[in-house]
Order: sequence, then structure tokens, then C-alpha cells
Amino acid sequence: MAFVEFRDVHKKYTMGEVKVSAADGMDFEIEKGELVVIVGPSGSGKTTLLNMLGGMDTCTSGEIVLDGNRIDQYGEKELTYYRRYDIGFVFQFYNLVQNLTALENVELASQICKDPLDAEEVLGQVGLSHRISNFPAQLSGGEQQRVAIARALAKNPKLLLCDEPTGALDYKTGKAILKLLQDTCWNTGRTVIVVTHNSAFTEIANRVIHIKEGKVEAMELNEHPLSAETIEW
Amino acid sequence: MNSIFNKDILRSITHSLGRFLSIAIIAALGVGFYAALRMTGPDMRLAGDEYYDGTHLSDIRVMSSLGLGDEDVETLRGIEGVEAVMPGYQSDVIAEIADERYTVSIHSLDTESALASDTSDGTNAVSDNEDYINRLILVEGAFPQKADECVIGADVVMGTDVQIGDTVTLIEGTQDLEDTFEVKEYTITGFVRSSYYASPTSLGSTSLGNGALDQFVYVPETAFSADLPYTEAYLTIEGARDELSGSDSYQAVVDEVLKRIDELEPQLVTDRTAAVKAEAQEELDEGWEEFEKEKADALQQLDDAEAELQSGKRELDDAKAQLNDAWSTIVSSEKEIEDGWDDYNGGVKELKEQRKAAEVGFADAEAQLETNKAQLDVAWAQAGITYEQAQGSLSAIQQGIEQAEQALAALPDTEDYAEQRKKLEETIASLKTQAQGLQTLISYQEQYDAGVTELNKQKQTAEQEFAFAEQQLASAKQKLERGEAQLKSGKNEYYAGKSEYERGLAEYNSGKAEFEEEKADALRQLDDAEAELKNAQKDIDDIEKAELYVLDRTKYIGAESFRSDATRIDQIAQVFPFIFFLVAALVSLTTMTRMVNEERILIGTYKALGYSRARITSKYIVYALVASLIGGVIGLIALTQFLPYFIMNAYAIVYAVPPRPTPIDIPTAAIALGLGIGITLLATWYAATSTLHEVPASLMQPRAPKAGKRILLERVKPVWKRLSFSWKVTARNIFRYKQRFFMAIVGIAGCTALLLTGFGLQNAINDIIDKQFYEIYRYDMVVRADDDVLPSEKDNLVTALDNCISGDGVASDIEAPADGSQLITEYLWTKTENMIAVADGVKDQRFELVVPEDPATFQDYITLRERVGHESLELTDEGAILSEKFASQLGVSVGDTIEVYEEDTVGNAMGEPYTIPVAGITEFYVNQYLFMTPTLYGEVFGEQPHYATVYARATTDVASRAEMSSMLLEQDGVKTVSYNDEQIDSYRTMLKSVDSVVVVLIIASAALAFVVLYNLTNINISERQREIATLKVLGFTRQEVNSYIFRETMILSIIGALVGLFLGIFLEAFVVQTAEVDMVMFGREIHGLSFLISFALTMVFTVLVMWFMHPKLARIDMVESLKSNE
Repeated sequence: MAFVEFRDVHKKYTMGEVKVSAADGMDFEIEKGELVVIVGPSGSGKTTLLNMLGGMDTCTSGEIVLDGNRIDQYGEKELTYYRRYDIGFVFQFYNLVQNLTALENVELASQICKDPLDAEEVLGQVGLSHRISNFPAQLSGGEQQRVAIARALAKNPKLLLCDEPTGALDYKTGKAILKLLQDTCWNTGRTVIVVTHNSAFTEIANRVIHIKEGKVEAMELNEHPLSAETIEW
Repeated sequence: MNSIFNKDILRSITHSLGRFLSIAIIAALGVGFYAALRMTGPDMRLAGDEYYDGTHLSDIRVMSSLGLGDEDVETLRGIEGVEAVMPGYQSDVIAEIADERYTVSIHSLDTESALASDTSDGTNAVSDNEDYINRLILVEGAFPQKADECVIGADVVMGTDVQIGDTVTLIEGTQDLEDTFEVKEYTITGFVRSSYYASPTSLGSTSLGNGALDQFVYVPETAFSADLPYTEAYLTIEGARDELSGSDSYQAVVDEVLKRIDELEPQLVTDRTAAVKAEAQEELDEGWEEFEKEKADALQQLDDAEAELQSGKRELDDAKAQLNDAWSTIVSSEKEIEDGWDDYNGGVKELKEQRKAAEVGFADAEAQLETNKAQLDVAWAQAGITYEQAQGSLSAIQQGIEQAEQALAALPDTEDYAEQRKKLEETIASLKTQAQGLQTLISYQEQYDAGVTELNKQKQTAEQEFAFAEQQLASAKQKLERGEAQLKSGKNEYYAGKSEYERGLAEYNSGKAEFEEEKADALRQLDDAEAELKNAQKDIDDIEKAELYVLDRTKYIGAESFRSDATRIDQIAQVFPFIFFLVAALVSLTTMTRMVNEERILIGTYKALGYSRARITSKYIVYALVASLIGGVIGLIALTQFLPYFIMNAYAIVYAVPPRPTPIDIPTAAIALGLGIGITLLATWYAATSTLHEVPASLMQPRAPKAGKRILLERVKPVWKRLSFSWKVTARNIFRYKQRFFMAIVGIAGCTALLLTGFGLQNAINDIIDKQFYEIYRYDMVVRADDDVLPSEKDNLVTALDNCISGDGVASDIEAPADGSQLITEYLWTKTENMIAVADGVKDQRFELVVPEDPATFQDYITLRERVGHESLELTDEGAILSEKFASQLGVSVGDTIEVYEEDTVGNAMGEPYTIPVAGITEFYVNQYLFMTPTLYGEVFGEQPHYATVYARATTDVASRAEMSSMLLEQDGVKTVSYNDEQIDSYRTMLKSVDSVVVVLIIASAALAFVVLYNLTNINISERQREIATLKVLGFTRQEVNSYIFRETMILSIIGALVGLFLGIFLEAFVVQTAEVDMVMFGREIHGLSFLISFALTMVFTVLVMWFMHPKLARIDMVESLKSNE
């Protein structure tokens, strides 16, 4: 059994009077330790997929399995603990708590976990040892995203989910972040899933899942992914 | 105006109803409270005015120190502007009503008008008689019809349940009851409400009892003495009813008339004085006449009595002379009898001797006779014849001689016959010789016989004489004996007479002494009477010009205290709404700032589209305007209807003024709305302009998040390190948004301060009861005797009181207290007197002077201590101790002196001032007192205090008290017996009205707390939606998210509440001092529990808001919130 499995997952919204099907029978599997890039155009349902996998949203039907657990059957409380212990999230807009320093933002996450990594160490790993007591407003976008990644990593999650992690960053910084994610996956064996509309990213992944109109259009395995430093877009 | 733009405004309202409501509600509170409190005072005044108008409450009360006559009444009636005049009688008395004694003000009632009046609606007394003034509202029963019927105040709290049919018995008055009243016992026929006594809890002062009136009673005019001048006249003024009582325009109308009365005063006073003087003089002249007559009578009587005494004396003197005569008679009689006895005894002796001598004589004579007989016998024997023979012979011889002589004689004398003659002569001679012999013998015989006879005769005579003498002696003896007896009885008689005389003398003497005494007495009385009359004359001469007291409604205790309470509300109304307006400003500011921030992209868009800055600003201005207008109007209408009515109802406990509908005063409403809306708009304008300065491009960008900042607390490393991240966030958040911080702090502080004020106010009044009646007053009972109580009456009272301690004597019949205590444990004599203290710039202060006979034990009866620190105060000769409110009213402190005056019957200062040094100020809440030692009293007043009041520590058992009271009241000289906890009731009543104020304050503060906290939480949640979503994503449990957000609210609440407790102390102090009434000091301490409750209630409100806001927090959707950049 794969580490992550989606089996015929549907997600339907009602937005006013319009019925939208964000996920329309998604099926895929991800193995442990893979760097996965989920790619698709805007509105294809990739973020919905991520949200459902991250326990932020529930599916309307289908099965979602992580490490043998049926996420789709979790109630609100279980989902909370699921997010707490199993998932690390990285967003496009970092979503740091403005009132906490870099270190505190990391601790914010680590303090609620069972087996967290040391916050300062993790910040060191993302290259921010010198800025740990700075507030988000004092950091550049890339630095903020590093803090966000550190925050996600410090939880020691089973799964690191990143939603357009470079979307708000310039090219160079974006690349550095991608490299960081790639290193995280390859060096620590953590499963990392990156959602993006940028198909250039597919080259760095072990597994690429193409999403279109709520369905998995294609899935391919990359035997030799490129280093993030080498790709261009 | 562009309709699309307007549509946007409309949508922004409907899409953010919470925000809209925040502004609306705080505007409602601000405007509503401001307007309502502002209108409460005027509403109260209106209610008062309506009531006063409806009952024709007099505008002016005129009294004169010499009373008023009919002509004075007419003069008053004639003054321009005077509408009607009602003369009447009034007198303060102590009366027994349903077995309890009260100080009562008795008024005369125009019964005819009262009976004809219609008072059915409770506010108006409709009568055709304009001169029927101070009309009564009949609450129950009927108006009196007969002189011995009365009506009494309906709203006065009385010690016992008084009912129609009970009796009012007058006991004592300020003036002589006999002079003042025809009737002294009345049957209650009904209960009335009098606008003259608008405040049933303070009816005014009196010189009787404890100085405060307990009740008022209206009796028919006929119940007052017919020859009593009117004591007062009530006036209504033309046009005064058209004005609002107490307003400047009202006062102007009244002042006009007051001025005219003032102008007329010299005349009124002079006329009245002259009239009274004339009347008094007439009376006095009659008195003189009577006096003269009585004096003459008395002197006549005295003279008569003296004459009688003198005749008695003369009689006595006569009697004495008689007695003396009698005595000398007795003495001489005694002597006579003694002499008689001597004579008698001499007589007896003489007789004896005479008898003896006679016997010897007779014996001699007999012996002589015997001898003679023997010789005779011899002679006879010699003669040989016997005597008879001899006699015959002799006769024969003599015949012979005769014959012979005849013969001789027959012979002529011639010689012839010579011989014959010779012979015859010779015969004759012989015969003669013979005859001679015979003769001799015979004569001897005869001599002898004669001798015998003589002797016998003598013997017989002697015998007879002796017998006679004896007889005489015997009769003399008898006589003597009789004399003796007579003497004896005479003596007895004399003694009897003498003792009678002595008795008479004693009688006379005592009679005389009595007479002297009576005479002296009578003379003294006459002198006294004369002096009295002279005094009366002097009094009349000295009759001071009548003093006219002209009192307008500002001197009517009920109307005035109602008016000043309305003013107090005005004052409070100036402070309270300030809090609401301040909070309204802050709420608007934060809310609108948030709104503008939320819509910055929209603003940018509008700007980019070419809308002017003013136009865009107008959106927010309109939004705020609509919100505050709607809220303000609703608040205005709701609160101005509810609050004044509520407050008036609360005051209805203290005032008998009927509450009335409360009209909205347009100017006040406009000001309130203007202020409320203005503040909101100002805040909105400020919030909008600061954002609108930015250029569209930057507006289109997400606003740079407000940078995190280190706060002061972080410098305290040990503390900071220990804080969890969420605490750190909270700490930093609190100081990050200053507007919100201040809004929250001010709002919550206001809420807590209001609560504290409410509870503090309750404490303040509770303290009056708790501290005054349970800590300061340690005595329970006051027994007041007449000021001129006699020493013997005092002794009796002492005995009675001692009996109450020991439980025997007059107290033995009294039922022992159920708790086994003594009726009285101890008591103290004091001198008490109502006096007046005068100081510059302060109105005259009435107070009770108390001089304990034994200052050392005084603390057992009244606790003298400083309020702060409770340090005990000692009564010393150095100076007096003043009750706190009294001292603060006069503005004196320890070391100062005060000037006090005696009080006349109308309650004004009179005479010369006495200066008293102040040595201490003691904690005291009720009434005004001055305590001093007898020594100091002596120094100040130049006389020793006369103790006529008893403070006693007595049982609390009601049944025993009742019996003890009636026992003590039976003692001569005792006027009143009262228990000071009877006063507690009136303070409990006051407390009830405060309770409703507290309810208002709680509701207001709750509203404040809700608005502020709702707004704060609302902004916090919406502004930190991403943050919250992030936390949720990070796997924070609901609990953790709640505490993350609400901790801030909680901490702000706590800080706000603490600030509020601090501010509340001042607010409460302000309210307490503003609301404080005369003669009473409210408690100055807010109890710890009140702090606690205020704090806790604030927390409860906070938690309620949290609970209410919680769903909103739970509804935050992670996905939606995190979707886009802000």
C-alpha cells in the first residue's frame, strides 16, 4: 500500500447558486520519501487536493489514505490532531504570525507537537540562524518563506505540503526555496508535496501529478530528477 | 448622488451588520444615557410642577412672630400679583398615634373645601375655591368633618400599623396645648398626600423630640383655639402656575411678589405689632383691674382676719384677767376659810371656856343661894311664920295701916284729935314697924326666891346662849365646809378655765402665725401678681416689632429637596454620559479604522476610478452617520422614556410626587444626538482620511502588516522566557493596536467603574445603617424628659430606670426579654439641645448639642472615633467633638472654633453667639451633633447643664420594649421614649431607591461591556482571520485557538476592570457626595466585596461576550482565509 492514496475523491462546492466540482474523481498514489510536484492550471483543483490531503478540507466522497489511515473518515477533532501531528504546511503567502519572531513562529508549531525538532536547529537548516529573533516584517519574502518552511518542518510531520511556495517570491529566491524543499526531501527522506502551476518544477520531482478539471490527467515518475538549482523558468 | 455608489454604501451596511450594530448600539447608549439623564432632572421637575400645580401648592408661606390677624390676611390678599390667600394654623406637637409617640406637625384644614374637592386622579385636587391652597390628595378614607377628626400623611413610614379609626392624642406642644387647641384627641378618618410635604422621609425640623418631624396631621380649623391668631398664611401667585416650579422664570414671578411683600413688610409689621400690643394691653388692663380688685379684696380679708384675731386676743386677755381674779378670789377664800376655821376653832374653845366659867358662876351662885336659904330658913324659922303667913299678915297690917291712915286722914287735923291722931299715928308707926319687919323678911325671901329664879333664869339663859353659840359654831362649820367644797370646785373651775385659756392662747398664737404667714403669702402673691403684671406690661412695651417670615418654595423642605435631588441628577448627568461618549468615540474610531482598512483595495479602486477623496470619505461618513443616527434615535427614544420614569419611580420611594409621562425635550435630544453623531463622525473622518492619503497604487497593494514590535515586558527576560508563544503574541498584540487597547480599557474601565459606583452607593447607604446603628450608636433608647423636669420627677425616673436594670419595682410587671437580657443594662443622663451653628458662606446648620453627665462613660453610648483609622476620641474639656458631616458642612477642622446660637421656635438663630473650640471630629452618618463635657459647657454657656435626656442601652426585644416604653411614659415629666433603630427603616427605604439605581448602572455597564468587547473581539477576529486560520492549519485545537484570541480580550478586560476599579473610586465618591442629602453622611468606604463583585461581574460580561463570539471564531474557514493575500 502506498504512503498516500487518493481513490475516486470528489469534492463539490455550492457557491451561491453555482455548483462547482473541484475534485471530480481523483485517483493517485504517492510513496514515502518522494518529492511530489502536483501541477495544473488555475482552478484545476490542485489546491483542493492539497487541502483535502492536509486535513483542511474534507472530500465529498472517495477515500484518502495517509500511512494507512483513512483521512476522509476523520471528524473535526481528529483532523485537528492530524494537522497537528502529521502535516506541515507551507503557503504562498507564508502566513507567519506577525507578532512573533522567526524563532517564535517556529516554536508556535513545535510547541504543540509530540516529537518536534529543535526550532533553532531547523532555522539553522533553512539558513536563518542569524535572523531568528527578527519579526516577519523585518525579513525578506524568501526569508519569511524559509521561516514558514522551518515552522512546517519543526513539527516533524509525516508529510510536508507546499502550496505555490514560490508564488510570491522572485525567481532567484524561488529557486533557493525549491532547493531547500528538495534538500529536505532528499536529505531527510521526508515526503514533500509541492503544488504549483509552474510546470518547470516537474523536473525536480520524483513524481509528477498533472491535474486538470478536477481529475488526474497524468502521473509520471522521474527516475532522475534535476537539482532545483539547475532548472529554469 | 451616484446610485451605484449608494448601493455600495447600503451593501456595506447589510454585509457587516455586527460592525454597524456596534456603532449603532454605542451611539444609542451614549445618546440615550446622555439625553435620558439630562431629561430626568427636568422630567422630575415637571412631575413636581404638575403635582404642585394640581394641588395648588402655595408659592409663598408667610409667618409672623406675632401671628397674623384678619387685617394682615387682607393686606396680603390686596398685594398685586397675589392670586389667593389661605390663612391657617400650624403647630408642632408630640402626639401619640396608635400607641406610639411621634413629633407631628399639625395643620389646619379648610374642611369644607377639602370635602368638596375631587382628588380621584391622585395628582390633582380639583376645587372651586381658589383660596383652598396646599390641597390634599386623599389616598384612603375621608376628609375630617368634625373638630375631633383628622387625616394623616399616607406615605410616612410609621412604627406601627396605623389605620383609619385610630386615635391621635396630643401630648405636648411647642406652645401650650391648652392655648393652642380646642381638641386634643382626634380620630383618623383618612390618609392624605400633601404636596407641601413632598418628601415623606424628611418632613422638616422641630424643636421637639429628636428635632425631626415624623408625621403631619391635618385637622379642621375648629380644632384650634378660637382666639389663636393665624400662625401663617399661604399665598398663590398669579401666573406662577404657568411657570415650571423652581425655574428662573417661576422664581422671577414669585420674586416680583416677594419684593412687594418686602415693600409692605414695614407696614404689615407695624400694624401687626400695634394690633397685638393693643390687644395685649387691653387684656393687661383688665388684668390690672382685676388685680386691683383682688388686691383690695385680699387686703380686706386680711384686715378682717386681723381684727378677728385681735378680738380673740382681747377675749383671751379678759379671760386671763378673770382667771387671775378668780385665782385671787380663790386665794382669799382659801384664807377666809382658813380664818373661819381658826375663828370656829376659837369659838369652840371659847364656848367651852365660857361654859366652864358659867358652870363655875352658877355653882357659886347656887352656893350663895344655898347660904341665903339657909339664913332665910333660919329667919323664917325665927319668925316662925312662913312666908305665906307673913304675906297674909303683912297684907292685914297694911290694911290696918291703911285703915289707920284712912282714919287719921279721916280725923281732922285739929288738936282735939291730936291724941287720937297721935295714937293713930303711933298705931300706924307700930303697924308700920311691924309691916317693915315683915316686909324685910318677905323681901329677903323674895330676894332669895328671886335669886333662885334669877339663877335658874341665868342658867337657862346661859344654856340658851351656849346652845345658840354651839348652833352658831355648827353653822359656821357647815358654812366653812361648804366654802371649802366651793373653793375646791372653784379651783377646778379655775384650772379648767386656765387650760381653756391656754388652749385659746395657743390657738390664737398659731392662728396668728398662720395669719402672718398667710398675710405674707398673700402679700407676696400680690407682689408677684403685680410684678407679673408689670412684667407683662414690660413685655408688652418690649414686644418686638413683629418679625415677618416670608418663605418661598426654596424654603419648603419637600419641594426644595425634590428640586435639589433633580439638580443632583443633573450633576450626575454631566458625568455619566461622558463615559459613554468617550467609549462611543473609541468604538467608532476602531470600527471605522478597521472598516477602512478592510476596504483599502476598494478605496484604491474608487480612487483609480476617479472618485474624489471627499466622495470616498463620504461613504464612511454616511455609514457612520446612518449607524449613529439610527442607534442614537432608538437609544434616545427608549432611554428617555424608560430611564427618567425608572429613576422617578425609584425616587417615589422617597418622594410622594406622582411620576408622570416623560416627554422628550427636543433641544436636549438634539444636543444628545448631535454630540453622539458628531463624535462618531469625527472618529470616522479621522479613520478615513489617514488611509485616503495613500495613492491608489499603494492602496491596491496589501497593506504592509503592522510590524511586530518588542514590548517592554521582553526586557524582563526571566518572565518573558517563561511565557508560551501564545502569551507572547497576546502581550505583543495588546500593545500593538493602541486604539483598540484604549477602547477596550476605557470601555471596560467604564463598565467596572459604573458597577463599582452602583455597589459603592449601596455600601454607602448600608454603612449608614451598619456603622451608624450598629457601631456608632451604642445606646438603643432615648428617654426625653421635660426641660424643666422637677428633681423629684427625675428621682422617680431614676428609680424606674434602675428598676429596669434590676427587674423589680415598677419594672417587675414588664415581660422579661426573651433572650434573657436586662431591660436596660446601663444608662446615662445627658443634656441635649437643638442649636444652630453659623459660619460664613454656609447655610445655617442645625445640630444637637449633647453634654453627657459623665463624659468618662460616654463611649459606652456613642462611639467617638476618627473615620480613617478608627482612632478613638476622648471627650475633654479642651473642646467639643463634632460629627463629621456637621464639621465638613461648616468647613471646620480640629483646632478651629465654631459659633453657635440658640434656636427660636421657628428654627432661626437667636441671641448672642457662643464660641466653642473644636477638639475632634468623629465618624458619624446620621444627623449633626456636637458633644462636649459639662465643664466645657459651663465655661461656654456660663451655667451648669441641666440633664433631661437619658441615653440607655436597652433590650432589643420588641414586646419588652413596648411595655417598658409605656411604663416610662407614665412617669411624670417624661416626654418621649424612642429607640434609635426605629430610624433604620427610613434608611432601608432609601436603600431601596438606590437598589434601582444600581440596577440601572448594572444594565448600563453590561451594555457598555458588551458593545466594547463585542467590537473588540469582532475586530480582532476579522483582522486576524489569517492568523487564526494558520493556527488551525497548524493543528491548534479549538480550545487553543479560543484561548489564543480570547486571552487578549480577557487580559484587556482585567486591565480595564482594574483601571475601572481605580476610576470607580472617584466616580463613586463623586456620586456619593453629589447624591448625599442634608443631615446625613453616606458611607465613604467602598467595601472589598463591592470591588470583588464589580470585577467579577465585568469578567462575567467578558466571558458572556466570548461565549457569544465563539461561534464566529469556529466558523473561520482555513481554506478561504488563506486563499489570497490580504
